[in-house]
Amino acid sequence: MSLQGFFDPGSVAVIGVGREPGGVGRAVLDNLVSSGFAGPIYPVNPRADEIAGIRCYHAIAQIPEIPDLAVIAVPADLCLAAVSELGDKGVRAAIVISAGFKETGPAGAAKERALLSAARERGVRLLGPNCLGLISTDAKLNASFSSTVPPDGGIAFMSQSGALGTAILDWAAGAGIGLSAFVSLGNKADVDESDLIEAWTGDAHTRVVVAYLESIADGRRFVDVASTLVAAKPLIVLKAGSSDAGARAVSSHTGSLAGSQTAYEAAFRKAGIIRADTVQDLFDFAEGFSRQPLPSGPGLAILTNAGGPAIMATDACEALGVGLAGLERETTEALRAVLPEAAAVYNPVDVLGDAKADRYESAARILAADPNVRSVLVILTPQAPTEAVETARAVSAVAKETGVTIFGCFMGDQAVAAGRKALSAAGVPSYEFPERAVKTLAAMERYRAHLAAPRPELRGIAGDQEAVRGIIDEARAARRTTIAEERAAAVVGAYGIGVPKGGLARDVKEARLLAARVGFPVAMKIASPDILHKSDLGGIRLGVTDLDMVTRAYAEIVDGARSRMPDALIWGVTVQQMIPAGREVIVGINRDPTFGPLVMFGLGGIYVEVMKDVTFRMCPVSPDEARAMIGEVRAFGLLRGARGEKPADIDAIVDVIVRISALASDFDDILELDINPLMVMERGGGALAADIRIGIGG
Amino acid sequence: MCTIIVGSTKPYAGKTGICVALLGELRERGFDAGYFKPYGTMPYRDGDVMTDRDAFYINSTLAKPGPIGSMCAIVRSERFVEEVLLGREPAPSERVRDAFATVSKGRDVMVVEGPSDMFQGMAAGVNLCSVADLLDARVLMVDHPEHLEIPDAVLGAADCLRERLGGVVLNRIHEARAAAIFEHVVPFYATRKIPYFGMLADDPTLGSITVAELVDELGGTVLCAEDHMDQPVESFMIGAMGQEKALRFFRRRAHKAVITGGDRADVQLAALETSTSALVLTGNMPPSSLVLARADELGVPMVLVDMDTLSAVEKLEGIMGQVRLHGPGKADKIREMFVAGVAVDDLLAAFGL
Repeated sequence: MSLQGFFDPGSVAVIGVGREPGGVGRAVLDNLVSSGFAGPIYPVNPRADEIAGIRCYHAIAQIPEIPDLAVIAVPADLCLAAVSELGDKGVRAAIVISAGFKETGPAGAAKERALLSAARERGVRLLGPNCLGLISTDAKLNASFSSTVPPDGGIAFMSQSGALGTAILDWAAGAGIGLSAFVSLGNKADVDESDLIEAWTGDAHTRVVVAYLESIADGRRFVDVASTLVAAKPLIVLKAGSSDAGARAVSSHTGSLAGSQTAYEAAFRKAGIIRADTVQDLFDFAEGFSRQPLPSGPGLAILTNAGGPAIMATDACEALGVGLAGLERETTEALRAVLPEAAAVYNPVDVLGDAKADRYESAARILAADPNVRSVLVILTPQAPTEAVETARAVSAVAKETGVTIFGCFMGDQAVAAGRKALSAAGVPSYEFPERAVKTLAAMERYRAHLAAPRPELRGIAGDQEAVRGIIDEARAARRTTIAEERAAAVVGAYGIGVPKGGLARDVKEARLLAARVGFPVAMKIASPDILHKSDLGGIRLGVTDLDMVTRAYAEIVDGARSRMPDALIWGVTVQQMIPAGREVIVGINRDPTFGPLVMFGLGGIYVEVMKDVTFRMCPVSPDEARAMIGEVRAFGLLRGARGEKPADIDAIVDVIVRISALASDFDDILELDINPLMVMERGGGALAADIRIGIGG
Repeated sequence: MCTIIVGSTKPYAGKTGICVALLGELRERGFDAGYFKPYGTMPYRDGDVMTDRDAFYINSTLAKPGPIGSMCAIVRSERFVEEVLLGREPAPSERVRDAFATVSKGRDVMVVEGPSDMFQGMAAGVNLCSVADLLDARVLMVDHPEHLEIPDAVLGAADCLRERLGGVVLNRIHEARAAAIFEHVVPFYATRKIPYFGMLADDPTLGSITVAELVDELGGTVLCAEDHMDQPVESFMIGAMGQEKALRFFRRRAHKAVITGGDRADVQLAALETSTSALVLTGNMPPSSLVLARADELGVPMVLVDMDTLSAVEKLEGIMGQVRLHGPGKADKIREMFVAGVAVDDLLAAFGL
């Protein structure tokens, strides 16, 4: 259902307006009036005929028309009746500012559920409860109790923290950053981040969407709607709660899990969301994205009047992956022609400490004309001859004329304050330090690359779903939370992943039979749901060559496990064909409560937990995404073949990742899955899942 | 009258459950079966009468319950322990004989629940072998092998009971070991001429307690979801890690109680994402109202206790793992498993029925 009633209403009712200033409802009314809202405003108060010179209604029923939007600021216990009456009257959008709901405990949560169901029954969309309200600058609508209204502009901002929201409104007003809308999400009983993203995707006034979020209600939907939005405009998100302690704070503040960092990273990557790590990033990025065009490609030119800051900027470029433009010969010659002899004409271009505005301007113009230069960072330090304001105007004019992306970094305080103001007035973002400018450029560059990348094409994988279903059902019937050994091999085998021949032997006799059937030499491993690290307990014997050795190995493995872990449940010993030596990688699944299954890839074997050389993607993944994953880990060099080694069968790994991600997408039951190791042969030799564990939970 | 003494090689082998199943089967076959326990270790007071908690419960399930004062002859109360140690307890074996005579009067069959192992009651002369002699009855041994192991305890019982050993039933056998035990241990019994009647699988639901029972033991305050106090708790886990690890950890067990600090909102929410029957919050730290609301919505009681995590764990360790048959449906469940896994006709025939 559309959220238009919230952002562009023709009329607004405010339920619960006090006669005297000071109350929340009264503050909303005053803000509506002072923001210049043009349509009728209907305050409701059972005992007042007029408030602040506006006719007041005693009851919702008395309001002479159906308001497009209602703001509710009555005590929590009265909200249900208000929403019901508004809904019955025909109102379709309501903001519940009142607190006293989920955040107060079970009784409040019950009230919130009742409120939501009353709204749903009547087709009312609900923002809040427990929120600050909403501002829509284009509609001149301040339906919040924040008295600060930012200037009209292109940034739509949502915040799960009301207080941070007011701080950002204040900052935006102070910095002259224009907002198209501000929404305080509150408890998110109905309208949530995904609804707003959807609403802002088609909103012509909004050029950049910025969000402060602590939790996400429906991760899959979020990634879907965010992907659509990101194709049209950037989405910058500050997701709080990335540390363990921070996650704890998010949990107690919002009543939802902060979510795993890896899951958020994978989800943001899938949707092309720009992640801000700090509020400063959020501001910097918002300013950069909203005020400058995206650079048309990589290639930054640094224009400076001091060597030191330019070197720092260069370091930041390298660290953040921002490519410096290689200047054409014509460019350096032209620069040499206009700059003093001591100036540096290669990138970074140093116009020297005595540079006035004209020198900056001519250098900027030459740089902007170079086809390799897609963005320019203008660094200025205050020297005696420096003309900060004039320089700001000159470079801004060049940017406007040439369309090149331009950032200012005027370093210092009082001496450059007026210059910064001039940049800002001309729509050029300015940063106090070069690193912040480069970080913002890096974010813009990543976004451009995301837009330019082809859309991932999924490969249809038709696994034997019936076989997998049978194995999972059997495990559930036996009340197992894990599937391992040959049953787990059968699961991945059903999706076309190669597994070694062999099976589980529950006693020596079975082990001997299996070994004979598989053919010598065989590998033998302890089979126990309680023993995760088999080799630590001496639970693995490789290269077992005859029946006597099988007998001996069986006893040694079981005795060793029993003496070292007396409480472990031992199923028996797995007897498998010996897998030829290959390179060991890990492919796994971890189902995130918010975003669903994530597929993991990394260096495998016994060092997984030490090296943590792994990368994640949201399922399902395309072959291209799988290939990118393989290229991302540090161990990639080993797979490609180090020091004369032949390259490993990377296509086979891609295939396994794609198949595993399809398996996890098909079966919600699979909460965790580890193939460790996946033994990868040389190119063309394929890969075998040597050991598999699947967690299906309770 | 026929008497079947149900003995066991070790505590928690599942003797009580087998008694319940046997009583049910006997009633089904038209026998008037009574229940007797010579030596009870769970003192329970019903009015003026001191008896045993399990015995009291089983007796109450009979079609014709026996006299409460006699169905458990000796209760191991503090006083009894002192008296025995001082050598003053007067003739316990006579008390057993007299009580049994009272309880068994007019019954077709008596099911007698023996002590928890071969030695319990020795000082008072009411250990398994002595009771068998006293009541002139034969014994059905219940064994609970945890691994593929040599059944030394059963051999020991056979040695002591001789012709009074009626046979053996294996109980609480994990599915992963059933085949190996059937293949190796069962034939071994034949070589030692010990009749084997069958085995019962391990079923974690039988070892479960309800949330209400857990609260009784820990003595805490229930903060929410009070209408979900009959949910089963099969095991418990301690939550002391970060939220990412917690989720992985909690997924390994179903129907568990999670013990964690009241301030660990992240751990509490991770537990709520997985199969959790109750959250036990230690240190008397109330949870975030938002988490409380979530738990209430999901129907998971949060229990606030005034003890630290270690003490709570110790208390829970003491009560988990014992099979308690008091829960609704458990008696039916174990009888169903008994009929499925044990050759009941052969067993009754071996005891002359």
